[in-house]
Amino acid sequence: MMHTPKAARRLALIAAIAAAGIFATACSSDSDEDAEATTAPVEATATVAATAEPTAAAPAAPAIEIADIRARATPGLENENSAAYAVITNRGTETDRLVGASVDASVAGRVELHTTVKEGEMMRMVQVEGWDIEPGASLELMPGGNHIMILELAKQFVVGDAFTLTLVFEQAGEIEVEVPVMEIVTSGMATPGAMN
Amino acid sequence: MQRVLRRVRIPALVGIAVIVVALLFGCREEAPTFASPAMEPPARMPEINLVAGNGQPFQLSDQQGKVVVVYVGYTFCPDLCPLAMSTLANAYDRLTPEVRDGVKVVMITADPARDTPEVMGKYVNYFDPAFTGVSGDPATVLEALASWGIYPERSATGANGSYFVSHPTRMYVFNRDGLLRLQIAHDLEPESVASDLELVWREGND
Repeated sequence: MMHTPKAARRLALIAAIAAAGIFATACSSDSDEDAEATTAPVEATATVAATAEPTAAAPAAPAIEIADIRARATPGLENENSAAYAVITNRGTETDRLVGASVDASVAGRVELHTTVKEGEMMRMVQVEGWDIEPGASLELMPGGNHIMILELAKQFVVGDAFTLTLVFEQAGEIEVEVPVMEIVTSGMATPGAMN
Repeated sequence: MQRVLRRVRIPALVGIAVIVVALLFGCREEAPTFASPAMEPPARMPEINLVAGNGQPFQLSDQQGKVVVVYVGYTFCPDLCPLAMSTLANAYDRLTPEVRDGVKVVMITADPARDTPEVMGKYVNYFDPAFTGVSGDPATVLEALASWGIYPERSATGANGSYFVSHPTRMYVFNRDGLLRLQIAHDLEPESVASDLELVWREGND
């Protein structure tokens, strides 16, 4: 088969354009990924969503939605601690406030609300009394920021374990959630199904 | 006939040349760059007399010839330190065996009063048995960190005498010559940490 000059020129042009296209895509993908590096899995899924089970004098519909809850596995040292993370959304019409949390003594001695604060080149832990959640807004508890700290673990948190955490809200009251224990790395990658 | 062939060949050759050039140089501009800020000029690795988890003396400069990643944290740290160590372990797993052999991960405690060398050894072993956790005489450790510009501060003491300690946000990466090359942010994802470590390792290998 004999190509005409015109066909060959067209072929060369197509090849060049294709090559340019391939490299444009190949070369740009890395930097895009980096830009997204620190984003948390914000409302990516509701795979472990739990709905409110109001204990007393509660509104008709569950106002608080808890998604992506997880706690960090621990090395198994003496008197160690862990942290729990989640995305808590207020589906109600009034502002609510997370004011505390607790676990059974068979899980840990204390639970506190904390935030990690960056000061210059240092990170520091600050205990907080609670977080307001506006209607329609989400409270993001994530590594390196706001988190539920679980202190004086009764036993090591092993990947695959789970425990019951009671969250206390000003409006919604007490909400019990089952918290799976996971290995947690940057970007919430250890959370199955929570990839962006 | 000859003429036709020649006319076919020239544009085809131009096309091939374009592809070859694109292959060779297409990524040159975007070619491997650090995700983390590089140090210019790089500072020298400090001499710190520490004790490893096995009770043996540990000196950072003894690791020279390897890329050394230093993280300063503490084992009672509930949020960032385990996150950083998990991220390092995940990044370390991503390296090829050859690069992994040339990378040493060291965690120095910012809380030597509670973190004995033994505790540090157990702690890092959980993340990766190849990692080294070091502590030492508290005054010596804190003095060494201070010489490096790191001043860990204790929080107010809470229930049961527990306290938290401030610690650096970044991981320090020294190249094979013992020079501080990168400071990796604590929230960099494992893929980028691995790629940064490999790039530093390659610098000494080219």
